[in-house]
Amino acid sequence: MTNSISLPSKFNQFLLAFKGVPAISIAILVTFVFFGLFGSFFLPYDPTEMDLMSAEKPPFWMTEGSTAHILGADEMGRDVLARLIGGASVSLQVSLVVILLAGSVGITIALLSGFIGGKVDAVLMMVTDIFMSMPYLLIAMVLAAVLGPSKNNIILILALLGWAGYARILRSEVLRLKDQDFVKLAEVAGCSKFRIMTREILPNIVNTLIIMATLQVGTVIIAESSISFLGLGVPPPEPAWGSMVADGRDFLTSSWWICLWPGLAILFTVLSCNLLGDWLRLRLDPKFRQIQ
Amino acid sequence: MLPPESTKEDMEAMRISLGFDKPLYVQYWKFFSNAIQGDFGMSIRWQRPCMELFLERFPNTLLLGITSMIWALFMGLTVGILSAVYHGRWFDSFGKIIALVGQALPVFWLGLMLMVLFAEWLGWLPTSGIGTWQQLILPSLTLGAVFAAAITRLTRSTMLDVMDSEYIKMARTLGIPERIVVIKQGFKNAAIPVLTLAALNFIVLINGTVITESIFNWPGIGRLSVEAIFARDYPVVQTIVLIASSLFVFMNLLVDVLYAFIDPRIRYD
Repeated sequence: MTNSISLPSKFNQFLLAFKGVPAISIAILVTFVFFGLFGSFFLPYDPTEMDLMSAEKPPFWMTEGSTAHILGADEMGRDVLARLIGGASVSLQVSLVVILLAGSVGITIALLSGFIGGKVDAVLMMVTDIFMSMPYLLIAMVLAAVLGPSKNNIILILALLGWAGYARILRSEVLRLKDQDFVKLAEVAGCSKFRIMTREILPNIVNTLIIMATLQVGTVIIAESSISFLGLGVPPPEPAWGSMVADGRDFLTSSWWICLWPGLAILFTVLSCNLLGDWLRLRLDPKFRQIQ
Repeated sequence: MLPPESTKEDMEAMRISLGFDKPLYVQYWKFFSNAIQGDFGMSIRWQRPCMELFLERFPNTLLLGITSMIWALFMGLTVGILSAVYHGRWFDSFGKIIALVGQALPVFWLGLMLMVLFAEWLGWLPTSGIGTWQQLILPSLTLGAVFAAAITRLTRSTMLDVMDSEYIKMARTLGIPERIVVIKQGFKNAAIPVLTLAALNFIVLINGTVITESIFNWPGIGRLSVEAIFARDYPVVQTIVLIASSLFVFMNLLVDVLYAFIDPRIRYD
C-alpha cells in the first residue's frame, strides 16, 4: 500500500492563490486607476468648461435630462461625469504620492528606531507619538491655510501627518525580527548594519507595508476630499471630489446629483481599498493564512 | 489690527503691547507660562480671550460628542455582538456590510445626504442649528457613523475570538444560559480592545466635529476652528489644537488606568 499525498496541480494552485479575491473591489480600483491615468482621453467635455445653458441639467433618465450630460451638469453647466473623471486623477495623484512619501519616511524611521534602539529609538518614538497625538484634520487645515491651497501643498501636508502610523507599526515588526536567528547569523557573518536593515529586515516587513499602504489609500482620499470640501484643498476650477460635493451643497434640494455622484465615487473607491487591504492581510499574514 | 492711517508711533506702541520688541525666547516663555495658567491670549478676530471663546463653545461640542458616542456604542456593540453570535448567518453579513460601508463613508457627504433625506424631502427634522433635541439627531448620527462602524467591526472580531475559547465552552458545559454566557463571559472579555478603540477614536471624533459642525451650523469647537482658520486667527487655532492634543494624551492615560479596573490580569502583573 502506498501512501501518497496528492498535491493540487499547478493550475489548481494558481487558482487557489486567487481564492476569495475581492473581484468587485479590484474591478472598481482598476477603473479608478485607469481613469485616473488616462481619463483625459475619455473626457466627454472639458471638466472646467462652463455652459450656463445647461446649468443644473439632471441626469439622462430624468424627464428634463438628456444623454448630452449622462450624469447631469452642475450649477455652472459643467458636465458632472467629466468632473468625476478629472477628480479621479486628482485623488489618484494625491493618494499615491502621499503614500509613497509617508511610507518611505515611516519605514526609514521604523528601521532606524527598531534596529539601532537606545537613544535613537527613544527620540524617534517621541516624535512619532507627538505626531500621532495631533488632531490631523485640524493641523492639515491650518497648514493648508498658511501655505495656501494647492495640490502640492495638500500632498506635502498629508505626507507630513501620515508617516507616524507606518513608523509605529513597522517598528514593532522590526523589533520582532531583530532577535531572530537569520538576523543574528547575518551579524555573525559580518554584515554591516545598513546591509542587515535593507537586505534582511526590510524584505520581511514589506508585507505589512503593503497592507498598511492599501488601507491608507482610503484614509488619504477621505482626508483630501474633506479638506477640499472645506475649501482649503485643491483650488477651483480643478475638479476634486471633495470640492464637487461642496459646490453642490447650495443646490441640494433642486439638483441633488451634483452632490451625489462625487460622494458615491469616494465611497466606492475607499470601500474597495479597505476590502482589498483586508483580503491582503488575510493572504499575506501567515498567522491568518493558517486559519483560512 | 490697526487702521491704515495710523502713525509709526501707534505701530510701535502696538508692537510693544503685543511683546514683539522682546526676543523670541522671552515671547515663547511668556506664552508658555500664560498657557499653563489657562491664558492663551486674545483672539484677533473676536477681540476676546481665547479661553473664554473655547469654554463658551465647548459644552456644545461635548453634548454632540457624547450623544454620538452613546448611540455609536449602543449600535456598534449590539450589531457587533449579534453578528458574532449569529456568525455566518444573514445578520452577520448585514453587520459586515454596515461596518464596511460606514468606515468608507465621507462624513461631509453623509451629513449632506441625511440632511436632504430627513430634512428636505421627508421634512421630519430641522436642517441645522442648535436648541431642540430634534436638531441634535442629524449631527450626532453623522458624527457617530464612522465610529459606530469601527466599533461594530472590532466587537464582532474580538467576540468571535472570545466565543471560541475554552472558558466559554466550559461555561456552556456547566449549563449556564447562552444569554448570560454571551454577556458575562463573552462580552466582558471582549470589552478591552473596544474600550481602547473608543478612547483612541477621540481624535477621529475631533476631526469629525470640524466637518459635522460646519455642515449643520453647530456652534461648537469644530466650527470655531474653521472660522478661526479662515479668519487667520492663530491664537484661537493654537488654543484649540493645544487643548485637543492634551485631551487626547489624557484620554490615553485614562484608558491605561481603566484597564486595571476592568481586567485584573493587568493589575496583578
